[in-house]
Amino acid sequence: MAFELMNFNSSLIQKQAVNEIVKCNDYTAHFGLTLTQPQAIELVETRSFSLKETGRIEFGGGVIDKIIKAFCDSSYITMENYTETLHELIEMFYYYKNETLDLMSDDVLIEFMNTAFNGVCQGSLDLLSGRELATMARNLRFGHQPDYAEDDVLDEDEIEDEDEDGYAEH
Amino acid sequence: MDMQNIEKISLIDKDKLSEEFYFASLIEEAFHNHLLLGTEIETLQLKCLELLAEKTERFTDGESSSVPVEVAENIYKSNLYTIGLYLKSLSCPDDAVTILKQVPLSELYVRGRKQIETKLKIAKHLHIVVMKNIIETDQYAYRSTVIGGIKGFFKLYNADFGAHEIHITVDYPLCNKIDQLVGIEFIIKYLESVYYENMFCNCFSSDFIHHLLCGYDLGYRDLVFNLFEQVLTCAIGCTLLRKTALDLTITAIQVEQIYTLFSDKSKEEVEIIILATSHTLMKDLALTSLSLQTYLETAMHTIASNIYHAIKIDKLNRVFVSPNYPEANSHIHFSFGEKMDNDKYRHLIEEIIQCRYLSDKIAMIKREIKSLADLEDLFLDAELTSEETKVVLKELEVVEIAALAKQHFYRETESIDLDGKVIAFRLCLNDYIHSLSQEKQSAIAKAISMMNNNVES
Repeated sequence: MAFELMNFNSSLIQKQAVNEIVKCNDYTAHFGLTLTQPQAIELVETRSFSLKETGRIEFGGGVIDKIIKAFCDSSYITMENYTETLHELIEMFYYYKNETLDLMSDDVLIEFMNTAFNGVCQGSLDLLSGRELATMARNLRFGHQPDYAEDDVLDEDEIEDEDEDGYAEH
Repeated sequence: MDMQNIEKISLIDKDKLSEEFYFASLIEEAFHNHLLLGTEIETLQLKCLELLAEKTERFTDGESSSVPVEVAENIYKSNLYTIGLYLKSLSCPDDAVTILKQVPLSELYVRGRKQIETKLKIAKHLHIVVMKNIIETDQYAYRSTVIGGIKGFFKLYNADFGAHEIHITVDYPLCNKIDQLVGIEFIIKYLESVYYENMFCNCFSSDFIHHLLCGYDLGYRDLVFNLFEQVLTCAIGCTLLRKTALDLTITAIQVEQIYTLFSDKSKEEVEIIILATSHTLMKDLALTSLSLQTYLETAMHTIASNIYHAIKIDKLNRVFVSPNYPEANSHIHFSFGEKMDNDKYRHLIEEIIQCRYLSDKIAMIKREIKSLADLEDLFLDAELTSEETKVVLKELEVVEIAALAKQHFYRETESIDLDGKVIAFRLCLNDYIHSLSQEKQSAIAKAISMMNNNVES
């Protein structure tokens, strides 16, 4: 009988996670959003799939309830796209945990995703994943601040160059 | 009957348990011996998972609920190692299983963690002791591992999340290899082994060790091999030849004698002879420490095996190496010395020029000239004839002639640009050297080659 980490039966953890998700309904109902038990199970399955895909392991209920509570007040989420959006956000979250080299805590990453989703992305998951999160992850990997923008620096340099050359005066 | 020697009968065979993965192997053996049921193992697995979750949360400072699998696996291995360390310390594996059933896993972890702290203190103390009996050698691998490497371990060792790791490469190999042990247990065993090896090597002069290792390879400082094994092999060889082992010297002829001794022996016979010789050696060197004796006896298997295989391929001279003395081929650093006061020198030259008899000239030179720098000038300024110059040269030592020849090597092609006096002196010196015996000429040539560019004028 091998005593390996990956041999653990995780059904108990799954059950715990489903319960935590269903409990969130008490809070999200104020925003007209609720999840059924099967939908909660599906979300946990997505989490398991994402963890496996990204080579990560999670203990306890995980971050699904945190994601739900952070995004439920968004004006871009309705009952029609609620579960679908949550599935994508969960996948995105674990993918970018790896891409940011674990340099960002769960709470900060969810906060960043929420701000971008409701702000510049205007509810677009494609923009959130393909542009905002990708740029932020690259910035972190290169040792910059998450909101560092190369264009801003270029603009500043150009202004400085113009000042030095005296073009700005003309 | 000595009651203290009675061991409790254990259902679990201690030899079947892994030193490295003690916890997992104990559970496996306990399951096979029906000491643990499948359901009990599942409960244990869940407890391990709970412990892992708790430790992972500490690892991430509660900022991340997930970690990469590799990180979790490492923490998991660390936890099992720590628990295993405590269970290993119990006298009987069956008792360990009983404790495993009765005591919560988190408590077993705490006990194991305390043991690691104790072992860390032991390792640090051992390192201090090893540093005190360190072998005086320039071998890089030895010094970098025993001094720097172990210090690095103490800096990097993370008992909370990587108790089973050692982080350092531990390049310097030991004579008696350490199998299976990991983490702090490995470091303690390694330091103990180095301590015994140092203790043995310190019976011999560091100069003899250096010459022996030069015999092994002139560039031994940069090679990675065990010093103790070379010293021990040579000492065993000396003892086999019934000569003192202290000078660590075996000649090529003596290697032949050892070859004759073992040529028709089987591997077992070689082992028996070597083991018996090791006892004589320990007696000769007055090695009374039981632990050191045990270490040496274990090393004898390696030595005997090396001898047996070397005889088979007729390379016994690679096992029993003869010392080499590279300093015998070292360079000569020669100085022409200080020049005398100019007025005094001028006065001396005038006197020598005016002097009629050679014997008087020689006497004056012997009395007044104190450095080769002045003598060199004198050869050029004192208007000595060729014969007179040769008589003065006769008074000089080989090394002095070599130093002059190094400075005034005669080459026809170069002589065009030189002063007449210089050419005359160089010709004279060249003639003188060629007039000497072949033996002296080669001595001068050797001295010149050893001087390289170290002559200071």
